[in-house]
Amino acid sequence: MAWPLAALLYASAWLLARNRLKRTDEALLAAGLLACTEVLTAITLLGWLGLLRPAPAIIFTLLLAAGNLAAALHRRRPLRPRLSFRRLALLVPWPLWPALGLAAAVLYFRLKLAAALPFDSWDGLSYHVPILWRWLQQGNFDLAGWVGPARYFPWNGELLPAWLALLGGALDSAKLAQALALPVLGAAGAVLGRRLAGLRWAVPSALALVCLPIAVIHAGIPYVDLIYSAFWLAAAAAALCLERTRRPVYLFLYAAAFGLAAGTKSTLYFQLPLLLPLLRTLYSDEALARRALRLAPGLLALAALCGASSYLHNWWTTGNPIFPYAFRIGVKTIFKGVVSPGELLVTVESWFVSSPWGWLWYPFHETMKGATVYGTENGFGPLFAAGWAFWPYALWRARRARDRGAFWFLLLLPATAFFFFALHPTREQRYVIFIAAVPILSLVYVFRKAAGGLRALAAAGWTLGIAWGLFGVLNYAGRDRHTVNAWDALRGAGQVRPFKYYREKYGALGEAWAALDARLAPGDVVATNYGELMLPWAGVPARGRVIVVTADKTPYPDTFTATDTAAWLALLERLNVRYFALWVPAWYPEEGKEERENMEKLAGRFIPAGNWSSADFGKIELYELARTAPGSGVSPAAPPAPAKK
Amino acid sequence: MPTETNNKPTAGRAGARRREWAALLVFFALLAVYFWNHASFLQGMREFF
Repeated sequence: MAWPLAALLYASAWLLARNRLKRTDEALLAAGLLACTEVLTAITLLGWLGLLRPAPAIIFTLLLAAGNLAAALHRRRPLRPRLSFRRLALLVPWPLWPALGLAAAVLYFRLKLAAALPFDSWDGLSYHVPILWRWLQQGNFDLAGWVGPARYFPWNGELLPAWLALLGGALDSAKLAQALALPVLGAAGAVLGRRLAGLRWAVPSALALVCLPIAVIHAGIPYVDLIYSAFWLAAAAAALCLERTRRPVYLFLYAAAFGLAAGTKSTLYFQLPLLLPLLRTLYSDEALARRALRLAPGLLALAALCGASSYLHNWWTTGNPIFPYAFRIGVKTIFKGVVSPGELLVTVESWFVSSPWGWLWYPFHETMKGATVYGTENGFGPLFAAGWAFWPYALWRARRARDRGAFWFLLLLPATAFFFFALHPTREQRYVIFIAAVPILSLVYVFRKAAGGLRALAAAGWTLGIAWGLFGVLNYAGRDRHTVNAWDALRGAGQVRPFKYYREKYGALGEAWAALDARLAPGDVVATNYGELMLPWAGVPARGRVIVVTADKTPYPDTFTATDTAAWLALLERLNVRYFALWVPAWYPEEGKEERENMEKLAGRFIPAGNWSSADFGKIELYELARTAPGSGVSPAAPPAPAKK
Repeated sequence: MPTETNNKPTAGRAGARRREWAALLVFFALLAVYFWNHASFLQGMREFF
């Protein structure tokens, strides 16, 4: 039921949007932004009211769809199907048809496999889905006691899957939430392609972005990078439309998209370049600038509605909108935090290139840890590589043609690259999926006047580029034995055994998850000392409550932490913990030391339920807590109270 | 006035055509380099067939 309802809301938003925007591609883009804004507002409201339940979410969605339809009918524009073979041939040149077919097949494969697998992906299992699961269990947004920074991250990327899970009545409905971004991504591609190179390049541009290998891979994992990128590109498309038409309606699209992106990831510095094309257009048109100034309160309010709620929440609870990060200008601290972004510097760059200069030619040979393979972190594909080389030429052509819109759009590449190298702590492609659009649209811009045989050949190259990227997606899945086995099981038995998959992929950790799942009753509280990959401790399908309770010091306030042995045990009992999973990850051999010392002092209270170890994932021990007296602890139905630190 | 694509005519259509054909050749050459470097993709995807 989740996806039909989502499609209904999108269709109703499209009918409303096409009253204001004649072009189908722009109406589709506006519809995606409108539907997302409506959903996020509704789910935020439900969460604050403690009503994150299926019935209110379904009623809200139906009301929103009905409201859109009523508003659309109020100022109706007749539906005139204008599709004919001639128009279709113009939109989709014949050499592109194989790419369309292959894209449909690979997307079907990717989404079908991802839907059949248990929840997977590192950050997905560590916080994106556990946060969502906790919201759904409680019916509200309370994350009291949560250990780690994820509690304070922007939450649009969790609110959208929460909506799907509520519509579908099960957490599993949220598995493909990032696929919601594909229509927005495709529409943004179509708008950019059309505004840069004319109608003929709208569909090829949309297809190239939707078939970006990393986008296809991300459509099947519970991350938020694809959602962020779709909103980022929507803002870039709105800025270009504004430059071309000077219509204020695009200011509203820009504000919504900018706000939606800011509310998805806190990498605000990647959004600063988006201001460049907007400000350049306003600088060159005094009348439009005056109009924008008059509309500024409304535009800011719209952007805030779309993306400010998590920042305001952080400000309210910690006094710092970007908590846990400190924000300093020079020596002056503007906002106090517990970590500086610089401290997070992770050297994952070496997985891809040996030095920062390596990024210059990396697009022509995409590797990770020495293997030629796409993954959840990389994979921009052949069209990006070709466009990468063409970008300076496209910029020169835009400059010569005095095409200001194209010129400033193309400048988004170096402007983003500057922040990627100057500020971003983790240099990998997935954080900047959106930027792949600029080189790809450079190619479109170079071939914008191609006609006849030249255009057919360019389209054939386009098809080959898309096809090879999709082969790379299949290669990504085919390289891992556990994925191939899962696909074989899906084709043979019609389903995947979740713990067989987890065992094959996560070794000893998968064994421990399976052993706990066999014992777990609905509502049981499972505590672990280490929060990464925590979701499967809730069982498959999820039915337990998972929390991190640590005996180690943590810089975050309001966490389930107790450094004293008696207080630690009292905390476990107060939280009604039934199982305790002690995990010493292979990469942090000191982890769990304090908890182990506590357990040694409390011999008899922790009944061993198994232990496992593997070279990749370290040692895992599972314990059941012996009860002291019946009735101790809080009800598992109630949200656990945090230990103030 | 702003236009949809701002495709202003540049010096000589014949010159422009030559540039477009040259760009197309470079495009195919770059694709070929990429395919060559990523030929192993065909190996991995065979697992599914």
